[in-house]
Amino acid sequence: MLFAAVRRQRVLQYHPVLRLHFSSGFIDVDKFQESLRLNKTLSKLKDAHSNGAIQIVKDIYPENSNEVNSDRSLPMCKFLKDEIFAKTENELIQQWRKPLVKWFRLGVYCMKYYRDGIKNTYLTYKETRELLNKYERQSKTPLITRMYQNIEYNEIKNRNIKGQNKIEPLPISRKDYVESFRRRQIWKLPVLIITLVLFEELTAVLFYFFPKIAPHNCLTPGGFFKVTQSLRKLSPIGDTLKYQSPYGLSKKPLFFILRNSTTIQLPKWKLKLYEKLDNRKIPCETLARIHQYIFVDDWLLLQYFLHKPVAKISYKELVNCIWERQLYYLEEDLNYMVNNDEGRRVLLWRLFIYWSFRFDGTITVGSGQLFSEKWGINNVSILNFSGMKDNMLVTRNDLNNLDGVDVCK
Amino acid sequence: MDSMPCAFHIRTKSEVRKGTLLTALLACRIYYGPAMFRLSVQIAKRYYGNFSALKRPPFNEIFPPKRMINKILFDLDSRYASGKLYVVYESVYNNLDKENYTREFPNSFNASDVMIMKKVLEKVRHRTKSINKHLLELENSLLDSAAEMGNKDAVALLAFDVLKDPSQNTSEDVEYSKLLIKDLYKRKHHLTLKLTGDLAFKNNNLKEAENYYKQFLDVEDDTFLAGEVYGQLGLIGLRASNLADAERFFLKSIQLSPLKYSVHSYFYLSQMYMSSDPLKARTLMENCATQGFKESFRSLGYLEMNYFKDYYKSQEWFKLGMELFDIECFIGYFDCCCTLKEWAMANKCYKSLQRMAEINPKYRPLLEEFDVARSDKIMTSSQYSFQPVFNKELIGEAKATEQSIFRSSKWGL
Repeated sequence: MLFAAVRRQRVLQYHPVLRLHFSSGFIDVDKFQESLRLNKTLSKLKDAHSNGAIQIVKDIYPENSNEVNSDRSLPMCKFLKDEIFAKTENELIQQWRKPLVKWFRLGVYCMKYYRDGIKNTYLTYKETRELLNKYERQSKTPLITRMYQNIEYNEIKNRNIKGQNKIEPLPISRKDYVESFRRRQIWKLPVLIITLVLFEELTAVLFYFFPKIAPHNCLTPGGFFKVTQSLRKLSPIGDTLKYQSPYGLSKKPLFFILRNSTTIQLPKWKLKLYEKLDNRKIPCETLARIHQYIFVDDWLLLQYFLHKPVAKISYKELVNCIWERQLYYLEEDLNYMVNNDEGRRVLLWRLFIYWSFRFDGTITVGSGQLFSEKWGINNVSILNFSGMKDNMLVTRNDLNNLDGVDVCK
Repeated sequence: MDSMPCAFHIRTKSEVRKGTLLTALLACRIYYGPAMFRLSVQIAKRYYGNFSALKRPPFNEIFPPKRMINKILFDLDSRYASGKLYVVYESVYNNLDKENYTREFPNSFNASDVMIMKKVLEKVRHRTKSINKHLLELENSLLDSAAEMGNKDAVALLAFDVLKDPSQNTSEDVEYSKLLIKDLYKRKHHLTLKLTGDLAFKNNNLKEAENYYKQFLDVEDDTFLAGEVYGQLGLIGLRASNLADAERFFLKSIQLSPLKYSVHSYFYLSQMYMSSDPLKARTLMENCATQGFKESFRSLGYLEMNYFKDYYKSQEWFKLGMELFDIECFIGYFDCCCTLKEWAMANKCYKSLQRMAEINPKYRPLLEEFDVARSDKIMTSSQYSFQPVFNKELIGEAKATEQSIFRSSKWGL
């Protein structure tokens, strides 16, 4: 039978498969070479990175030209306060007026940012409506699950039909996929508009203190940093060697994960209600959806990185990928990191190692197993696992051994 | 249904007139498969000596309740109610064993009415999940009559019965059946298209089968039968690894056919959703289980045990599977018992497994593997039993050391 995933789970239980974690750091060159040799996916990604096939770009122009990055639905990476102040400083304005002009221009800049944010949130909502009608409402299955199924079907077909090298792509692009998910930010618009009407330029200050009330693409880097810090970093759910289904989690870790999720965020009142009513179905299903969302996103990005001659990922998307997968330490400012060369390389390598751990040996990267066959059905024990021993992350110190040539542009 | 000139009836009529046991058996083989055929042969052997003199039970004793018949007739959009048909049924039934008897129907009856009468009995079989040999004979007799009267569906069914197993029929019959099918195919007769597809599917000509099924769907795509055809197309999609299409067809199949006729579609669909949407897969599989689909108990048990972590529920599913002697259900049940620390039950289950392996040698390698993989659990479970311990030495020892127990073994109230 094609689908023996449940049975495979059983097999996994009895014959624990040795899964290779990467060594705790890459300071040791030999260890790194060993990891490259053992993990073909990491090797492929490293090659693509070294050859300049994977590029990190500041902006994608024109924005609609790219089918992977959706910058319009993401917050800015750099707040241009210093640039605006410096520009005003150099202009021929009376000295006494300069502070006023500086702050006024900053206020105008913020207003324009919020205006664009609102416009883009609405556009994202509007443009993905048709897509959801087509895939979600007709089949009464969430789009995430629908895409997960599509990937599985295509991979099985690829495995069974000999001579078919490339896996069929999904019917929608990554941009559409992530936007159909990010469209939920529309529900924050009424609050934003009321705040803008009431507080005008002061909205920026308000949002600085309460960043979560703003739509995601209206966040400033400072606000985003606060959001990243406010979430308690999740430690791996369990032993990554053991299968863990969402229904196998006890109540406490389950609700902890959902409260601190960066992808599907259930309102706090709902979570409390479920907790009080001891409802497990909805929280467990939400956790399964989170797992599937990350899987589909990973799959789309990996296909793009491994098969495109030149794959470009924007700063904003890179930050978002790291944030959604929680591949950062709490004290790290992701926007600061993405704006300097070393930081970008660190972030990219974190993604590479994360993907290599999850996908090595699967059909996605050219081997023979399905993802669910390798890990089991909706195995949440690997949900936020960095791929390195003790869930450590790549740091600056490891960079020297990771890649000799800097290809980031 | 418009009548068509048909010489086919000559053969069938003569067969019916003979009223031989063989006809009934052949019909049984065609309609219910080899297992039922073997059973029928055994029954026939037992009764063969006085079969011709077999006295049939009164019709009113074997005929299903009026309420059920009326419901089926309503579903089939019949012109007549059960009151009118009952008389006809009875008359055909009472004359089943008579030689040289020509069946006569009321003048207002046409071929499609007779076919409806046959379909009613067929549906009764499905609903009650039991076969009454007298009603089966009556059903076959009605099918022959419908064919004689020129009903295309009946002709197609009989012709395909001959073609399904040509070695059991004369070359003349086979040739004639082919001729009839050709004629019906030219007329784009819906059942002929479906049956041709079935025949091609049986012979593993998937492309051809798909082609015929699609032709059938061009003729009708929103009926009961279309549901079955969609199910077959889904299977073709599965075999060709075209899972997206397979899913689409299975969905259509369960939409058009009632559960009991599309259990396979439910099952395959559930398998397809197993890793992406286990909740939906469980619901579909539970539907299969309501129809007694053997494979569903095992899958449900493992799904509950490994994914939903509901060990008590999974135990119940495994228990149902164990009643059907599914060895995987025994394994699952053992695991469940171990997880729930019901060691005595686990021990009992293990012993049943050993007995199964003793009886059936094909289970032995599996049991050996099982022993190796769960040696610790087997060891632990072997210390528990439902049997009371009767160790004389132990009792004697206890007697000697704990005399107070025996002294005070009265109620002493």
